[in-house]
Amino acid sequence: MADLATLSSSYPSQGTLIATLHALLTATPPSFMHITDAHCSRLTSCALKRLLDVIALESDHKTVYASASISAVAAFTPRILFDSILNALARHSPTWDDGCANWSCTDGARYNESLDSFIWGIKDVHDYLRRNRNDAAVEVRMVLLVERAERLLPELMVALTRLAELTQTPLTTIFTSSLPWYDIKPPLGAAPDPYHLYVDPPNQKSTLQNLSTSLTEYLPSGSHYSILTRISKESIQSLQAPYISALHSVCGHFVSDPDELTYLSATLWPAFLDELARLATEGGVDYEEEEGELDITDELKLRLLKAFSPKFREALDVLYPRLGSAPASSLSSQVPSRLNLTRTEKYILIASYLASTNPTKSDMRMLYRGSEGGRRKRRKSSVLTSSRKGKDGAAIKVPQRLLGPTAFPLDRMMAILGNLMVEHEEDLDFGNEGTRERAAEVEVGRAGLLGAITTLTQAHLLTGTWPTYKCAVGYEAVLEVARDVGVSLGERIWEAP
Amino acid sequence: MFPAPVTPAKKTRTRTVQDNAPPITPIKRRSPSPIRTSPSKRAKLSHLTDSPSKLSRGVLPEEFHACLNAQKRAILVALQRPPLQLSQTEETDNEEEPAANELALQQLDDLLRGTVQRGEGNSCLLIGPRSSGKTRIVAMALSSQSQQPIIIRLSGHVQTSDRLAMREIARQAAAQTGSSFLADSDVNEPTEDDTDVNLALPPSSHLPALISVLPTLKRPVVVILDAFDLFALHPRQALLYCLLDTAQSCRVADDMNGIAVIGVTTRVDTINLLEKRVKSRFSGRMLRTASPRKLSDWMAMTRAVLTTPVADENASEEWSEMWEQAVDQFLADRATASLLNDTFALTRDVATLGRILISVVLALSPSKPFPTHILLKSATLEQRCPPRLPFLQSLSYPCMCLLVAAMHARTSGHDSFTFEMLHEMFRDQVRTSSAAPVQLAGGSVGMMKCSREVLMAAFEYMIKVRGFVISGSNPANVAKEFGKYRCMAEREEVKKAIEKQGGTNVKKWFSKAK
Repeated sequence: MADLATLSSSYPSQGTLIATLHALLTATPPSFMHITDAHCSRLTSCALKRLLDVIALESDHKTVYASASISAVAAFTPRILFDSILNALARHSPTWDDGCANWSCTDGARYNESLDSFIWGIKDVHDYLRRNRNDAAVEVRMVLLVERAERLLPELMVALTRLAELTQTPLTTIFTSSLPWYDIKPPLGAAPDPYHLYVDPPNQKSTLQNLSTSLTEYLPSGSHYSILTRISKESIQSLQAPYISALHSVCGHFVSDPDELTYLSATLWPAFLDELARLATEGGVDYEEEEGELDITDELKLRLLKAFSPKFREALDVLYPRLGSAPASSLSSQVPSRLNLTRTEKYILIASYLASTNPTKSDMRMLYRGSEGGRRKRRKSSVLTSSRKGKDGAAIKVPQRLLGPTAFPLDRMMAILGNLMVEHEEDLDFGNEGTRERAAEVEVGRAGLLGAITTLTQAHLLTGTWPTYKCAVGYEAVLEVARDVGVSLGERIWEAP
Repeated sequence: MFPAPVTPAKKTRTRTVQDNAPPITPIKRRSPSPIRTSPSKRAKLSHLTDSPSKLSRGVLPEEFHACLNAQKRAILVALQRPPLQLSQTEETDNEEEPAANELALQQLDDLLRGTVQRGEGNSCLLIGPRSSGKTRIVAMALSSQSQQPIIIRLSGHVQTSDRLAMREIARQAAAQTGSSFLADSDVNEPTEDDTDVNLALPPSSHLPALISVLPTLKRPVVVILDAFDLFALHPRQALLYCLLDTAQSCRVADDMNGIAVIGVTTRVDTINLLEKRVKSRFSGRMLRTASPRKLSDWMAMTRAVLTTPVADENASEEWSEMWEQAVDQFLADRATASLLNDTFALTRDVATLGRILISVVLALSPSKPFPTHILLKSATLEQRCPPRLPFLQSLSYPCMCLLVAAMHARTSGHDSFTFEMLHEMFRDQVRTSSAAPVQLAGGSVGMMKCSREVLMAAFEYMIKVRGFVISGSNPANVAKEFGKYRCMAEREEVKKAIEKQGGTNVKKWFSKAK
């Protein structure tokens, strides 16, 4: 029972689930249950695994508990699934010495070749567990936990849900998934309806509790500020609570998964301590002079949190979408990698972006600068946000920029490219206005340019094969390239933002 | 009797009594329960309470904790095998026809007796809705036979082809007879030989030979085909043909024993799936099971399960009296009756009722020792109609923004959207909302900014929990921000979630989508 209490306290948002499952599994569980958890599935599966361990320890002379927990992602073929379930139930781990053989009741029996062999396997495991106790009255209870059940092979799902009935053994199947049963159930009512269980969504209290339990292991070690070693452990631990609540107040809005917040807090903690060391060092000479332990004043604490708070947001933007890796040193040097392109390639990229987003009919209007050289008239920008509908109730047209690139023929892109070059490349001046266009045409037809297209395709900045391509670069990246070569992109896009 | 404390604060006491289980008069047990209790009834209630410690504030005294736990366990066990609607609960039903399940059990029992005792070949179909007791009726009929037959269980979900079924038949028969009876007729006999042979399935040509051996075994054979309708989908229905043909042509002889083929299915038109030659060999006997027909059966079942006697040494007389009173009060409550009635009207599935009761029983604790209609209500919501979109309960700010943007896209006529569309709407909204030159506590009152990447991560989360699903067929090489998705949440659901969790800005933005 003490174990159960510690388990519930270390997984606060799973507390109800743990208590319910424990009560059910130690009494008479239904043969099939489904746990829906859309919020923090990793924590839930850890909690469930530990719960099964706790229950296994409660085996006594009357009842023996055996459990297997598998992930449907890892068990991607029937054989792996069958073997891992049977090995786990029989508490058998294949070793090198015995040829990594799977568990089997009699020598050479194989349970992994088909579903009905697997069912015989479950029966054999049941008998084996009972025989192990040398007691006829002993009752064996088996629990099969399948994580991420939505990824199970469809042909196995029905059999797993009916496993107790098929094997005639006291076995409970538990599915956990981020999707409700309604979304993953097999068609035609083939599987019985499960007993539904839910995980409470994380609230602020449980998230803070999660964060504080996970942070205790990260006390400073090997920091290059020697001053940290003079601060007592207790004072550093007293910093954890304000650190965590500051982190939660900044990042909690954006990320509700306690697991992600734990990752952020663990990543930032060393940087936070470095900041503390920096402030303490520059803060006053008296810190340097005093001998013995230092304690952190409230004023220093406030300064530290204030100085550090922007870091939370920066780290969130980098770490949550996994743009960067965990080490704290890499946080500061996170600049989006710029495209390293030659001038021709930049022009090609701009031209292909225009060809991908602008309607064909608009080319003349948008790109060709006739003799008058007047302003281009482009379409009014996105009206998506306005609530009114278009004419006679039809949907408002969405700019192509938002719908994704369309494929274009190479010739069209070449024509756009030529126009861009005539307008922007002063080097193309071979004399008077008349020859400029011809020069551009010559330039466009060069082999080097076709080579550049190939290079861009290999870099996946363009996709497709000759003679139709698509631009695979977003608006922001092209805008930057356009700025480099001095092309004003906004003027040339049919529906600019 | 439900004991109430004598001493402190009369008001709290009565409220406690009402919260836990509204008391009723012993005379008018079925009448709608009165919310208020007259003083005389209150006096009746408190006749058990000698010590004020008992059940003060509705908390169970410690000496009954073990009883409560034992009672919970007993009910959980009973729920695994709910009553089968066999015996008539009230005498008034006698003139009506007997319950379907009783009839089915009777007929199946007769049929099996014919096979086991007289060596007949029989076949029948057991048809009934889910969890109406088909499998249990088969088990009961089998266990009541004088001689234990050889039982071969096949399931259409597992034995998906005739060859798999053949191997399973051979295996189960070998396991139960203890001899490899097919060794000479079937070279690929799988159970006895070494592992290499084990891998091979018997060829289909051995099927008739294998099946025709079944009646010659030492004991009668009962073949149970679960999900019978799936066997009818096998090519040429060869297995069914052989089994039914053997059952039909089974003659009583010295060296022959009976065979019974029992098909179990939920599908009422199964007989139409059979090919003509298979159908002509089927006896045409169809036994039907049914869920409870009347609400009174349903209520009686609930009562029977909840008042399961505790078969334990620590069962105390006082406890069981208390518990039965509480169950009586619980069932007589008008709210309880209407909840049970709702469930009955929606589904007569006994398993659903069982799940609801499990949930009610699990929620009982020393502080709330007796079932109430409040517990029943939450259990019903949880088990009967689980939430369709559980992620809506806790949304992060980017997810809320994405949902609101998706609603805006829907109102402007675009049911399917790309990430870019949502992102642009969000960006525009942030821009317009922060354009107001108002500041509050040193900060802008506009919507919080959120980087494109974080929003993308939130978008991926929404895809993972199927809040957004792919609409139509996306070509393989489309970048992820241009894939077309639909929002699964309806406007009302989003509205509820936003009103509960969203800030003022998000609510305001949402209200603009009309």
